[in-house]
Amino acid sequence: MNGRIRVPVLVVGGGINGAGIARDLALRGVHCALVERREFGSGTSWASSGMIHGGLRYLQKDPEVTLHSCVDSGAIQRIAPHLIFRIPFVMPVFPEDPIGPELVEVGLEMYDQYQPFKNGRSHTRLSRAEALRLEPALSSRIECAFTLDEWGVDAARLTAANALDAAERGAVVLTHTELIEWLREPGGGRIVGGRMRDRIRDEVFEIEADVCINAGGPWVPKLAALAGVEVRLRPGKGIHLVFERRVSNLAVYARGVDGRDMFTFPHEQNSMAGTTDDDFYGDLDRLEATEDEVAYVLQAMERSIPSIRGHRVIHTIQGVRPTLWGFGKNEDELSRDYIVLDHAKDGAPGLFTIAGGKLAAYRLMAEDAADRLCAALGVREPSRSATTPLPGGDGTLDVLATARRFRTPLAAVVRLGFRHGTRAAKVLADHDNESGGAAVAAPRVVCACEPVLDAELRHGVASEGVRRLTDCALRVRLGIGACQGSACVGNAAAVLADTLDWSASRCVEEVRAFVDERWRAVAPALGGAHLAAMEIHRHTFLGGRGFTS
Amino acid sequence: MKAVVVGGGLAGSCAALELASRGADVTLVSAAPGATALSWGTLDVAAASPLRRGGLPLHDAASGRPLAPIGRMHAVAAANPAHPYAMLLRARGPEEEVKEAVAALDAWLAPSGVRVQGSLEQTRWLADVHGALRAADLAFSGAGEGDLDSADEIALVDVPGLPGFEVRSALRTLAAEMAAVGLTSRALSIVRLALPDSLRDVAAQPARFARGLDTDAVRDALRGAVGALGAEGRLLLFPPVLGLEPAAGTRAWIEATAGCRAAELVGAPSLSLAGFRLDRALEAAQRRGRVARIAGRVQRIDVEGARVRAVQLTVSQGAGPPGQHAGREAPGPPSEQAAAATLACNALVLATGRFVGGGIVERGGQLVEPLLGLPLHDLAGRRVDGLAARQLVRSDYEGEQPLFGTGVRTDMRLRPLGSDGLPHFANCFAAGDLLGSFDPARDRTGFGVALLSGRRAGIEASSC
Amino acid sequence: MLNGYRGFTREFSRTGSLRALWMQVRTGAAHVARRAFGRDAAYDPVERFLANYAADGFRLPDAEGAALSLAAEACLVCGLCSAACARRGGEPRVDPRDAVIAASRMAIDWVRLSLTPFAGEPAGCASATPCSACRACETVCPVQIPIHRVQEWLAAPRS
Repeated sequence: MNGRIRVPVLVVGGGINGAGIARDLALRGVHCALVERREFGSGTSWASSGMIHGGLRYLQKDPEVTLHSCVDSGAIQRIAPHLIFRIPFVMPVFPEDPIGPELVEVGLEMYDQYQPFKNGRSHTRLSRAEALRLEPALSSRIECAFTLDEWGVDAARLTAANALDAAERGAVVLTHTELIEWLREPGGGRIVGGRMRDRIRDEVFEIEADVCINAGGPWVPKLAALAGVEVRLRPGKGIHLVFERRVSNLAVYARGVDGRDMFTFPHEQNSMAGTTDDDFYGDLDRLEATEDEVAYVLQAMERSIPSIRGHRVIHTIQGVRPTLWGFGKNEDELSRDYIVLDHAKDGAPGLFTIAGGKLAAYRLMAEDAADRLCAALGVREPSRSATTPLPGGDGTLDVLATARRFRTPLAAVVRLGFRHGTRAAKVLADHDNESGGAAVAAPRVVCACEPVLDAELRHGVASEGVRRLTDCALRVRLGIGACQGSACVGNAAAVLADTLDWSASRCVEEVRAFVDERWRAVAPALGGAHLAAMEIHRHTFLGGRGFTS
Repeated sequence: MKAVVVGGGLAGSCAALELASRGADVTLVSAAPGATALSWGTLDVAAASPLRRGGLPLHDAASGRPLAPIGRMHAVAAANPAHPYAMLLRARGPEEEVKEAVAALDAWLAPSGVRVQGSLEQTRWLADVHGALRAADLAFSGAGEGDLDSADEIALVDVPGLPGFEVRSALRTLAAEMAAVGLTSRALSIVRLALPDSLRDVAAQPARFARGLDTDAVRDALRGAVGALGAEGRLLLFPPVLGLEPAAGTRAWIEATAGCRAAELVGAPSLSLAGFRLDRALEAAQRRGRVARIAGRVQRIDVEGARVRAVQLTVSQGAGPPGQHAGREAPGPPSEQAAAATLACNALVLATGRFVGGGIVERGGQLVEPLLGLPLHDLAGRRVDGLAARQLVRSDYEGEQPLFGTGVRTDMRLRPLGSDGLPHFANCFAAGDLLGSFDPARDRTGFGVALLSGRRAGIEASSC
Repeated sequence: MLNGYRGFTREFSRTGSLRALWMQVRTGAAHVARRAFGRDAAYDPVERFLANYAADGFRLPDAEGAALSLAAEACLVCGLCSAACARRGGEPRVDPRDAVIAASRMAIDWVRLSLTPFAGEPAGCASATPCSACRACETVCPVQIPIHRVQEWLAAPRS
């Protein structure tokens, strides 16, 4: 595979936009190469709130954004029904809130007009008593409350699904591969590809392309600079706190001390609280939530849910938004719109950049960018990404039948269904085939918290290009639950070592990298009921053999 | 003389048994298992981690000679003057005291079928479920018989369907690590336990499988399969599921049936029953040693001046016979229905552990010792009660973490010190993970501290 | 009622586009008309909410479930409960550790998918016996989770 690769399009950046673009192109029959420096979505995409939300708060300033988001939310539901779940929001109104309930309701009535685009329900107005009946944990100080409708999504899985679909349709998809420099046409200055480094094999190779697109998210300026192009962003850091399990099945709005909107919302197995938005100037590769950010979020949540501090926070999630540059504005007020830039006028013809935007609008952004790239290539194919299902999204999985057929715990199959949709049966069937059919035992649970089966890990390696243990934290949610890996990571590494042929010392390195990432996420919010778990965690990883090899 | 020991782990058990052997009327109050029940089979007094950054070495830096565990204990004390060993080993003849303590523990546990294996003179190599080597000073029966140096041939036993054990990967790791420490002259292989169909599903639940091995029915079903595993000079290494009841002697049965040596791999959170067995063996030892044991939670400690007078506790409703249960109230503060009791005492030993045991908790964002509000000190000896846990963590996971070395500081008699640096109470003692200024996960001295400080606390308390 | 419109000036001044302005005026007028002339439909908002979200598995919150969920948050995934249960010869349909980890978290899924929790035969649990409530698991739980009540809650029928 390594050596020289020649494709029409090179997409640099495996976040939701890069993966979406690669998929959109692949659906048009345009082969591309998608390269990602770490794991799909491991930058900004997975750190988002994981909601395909319509952007209610942009109604005032940027109704275009709201419209695009709602329309595309509908599209994402159609193509990946297994990756999304409905989240009703409760928006409490307090007596001291600057905006009264009537105005809030007007806003929601406006939003109701967009809901049909995303198969959403219209709002409900609740009295104080009614709101407390629906969500007893709400503060009893509220004046009244409103509900509205949004959709949640596993953003990491959505990103991976796009990338996998592209790969299945002929794209060359490479993770843990970074761009070292852009390749230029001799004498012409046209960008004709990139020199890459496979970070695991430590091999350098080249990808030649007719057009290239920089989809690096917050790394866009750095990648652009490699081509001598300046793209200005105002990167905004955002964190979430993750609770051990769902605090409620409703999402609850909360307002920060500075008036910012935040929420505590259900997400997969957990609830998350967030998010923040602060101009970021630090190292994108070593993000950590700060004590201030954690305190700010908890303070806001406490107002809406007074008992929130009694819940166990197991880790934080942090990411940086690739927000478009705007001067003199508060972070919240910056536009969430996006741009696709053609750098022909910047002295780098053949290079495009996509920046800005929101997760919810990714498909639209990808389609737009793919249109531009195809125009540059002279390809006249329409996009099919809104109507073609993503892998696993083409039907409904019969969870019970699948669990029985493969003698697998039902809870594991439910989660498998969330991640793989109709392909869940294939994941289990592949394991069966490899293990010699009925003669061998059923798939075994590796991570109890999620749960994750060994079959899913092996499938990840065999069919999804999983290369590192840290990939699994995003790809299958391994080791990010209550135990933060102490009960599963050693075993998971052993499963991967089997299939990836890792040496003993490589195994150790993978575990160490995983644990380091986890610690960086746990430490900022460590406390309360989580202390005992982390005591066990340290005994596991230090009290044993430790890491140095 | 009436003594109360709070905490039924290794430290508390040693304190209680020592007190009882000196004639005291001892009651041990245990709310729930803690770190001891979650241990994995070894008894680390100062275990070497030669392959780990900052880990204790196998060899003495100056002379290059292998360090005996006892030598490493001194090295630990020398490196960290606040470490409990610095105090515990200061007595005349510390080597003798350590050996006595180990011998006493072995004697207490032996009737339950658990022995302390290994010696303090020499480090042995054991393997864990991931195939990684563990330099073990001492280990309990089960893992303790798995000295890699003692066999010509080592075979990892594959139990089909058992989660938490990837045998092929374990073999590869074991081979590589044994080569790295020069244990190359052993043949390594995998042998597969041929499970009958009736046991296939049971193997998917390690605890159930382990219990099955304690029963005649399962042993009969597996007799042939186990017998087929044996070979002359072979050491069979099983995943740690060899029985739930220490007295059932499953490991010995396997050895007898296979006709060769058998041991358990050292466990991990994904798979381990050694701690559960140890906990049960300690409980049995308490009964035999005439320690009155109450399953309950201490609510308050009554003091008078500088003396502890009594312990107020709620008694747990224990496990009932199957099918019968009294409706329990919601968790949290015990309900009025739980029985309250008062234990008068002349001496009190706190062996409540650290975070897992609940000896130290964080309430309202502040670290606190919940029973007496004792001052807490971190790894470096700084006062930290009242601080939030997250203020005491550092970003380097493998490096020093003040939070995980937090505990109470004591005088030479193991009496916790108050804010003024003097023993808060004349007749209160602390032992085990509750002690501060040591990080058992990192320095691998946890059980050693528990054993020595538990015993010493018992001895000191008996003179009250 | 006017108080309900507090902040009007502030919000009005923050409007960013003509389109948004037009929407606000139009929707606002309709809203005022409806509220002033009492043309709100006579429905129970909670019932309507539940009807809207029934197919997604939402039900009225269950106080018992919430209390158990909070208690279960402390779980250390240590497995002592499984060991104690096995030692007593228990063969509940759901292993106590799995019950605590998984039960209350995605209970909404069971309802949405019209499944009884753990209805399929998980490997290793060929028996269909419910938990016998001997509470051996609870006596060994380091964080005192009322595991048998979690088991009971799991086994209770759900609409």
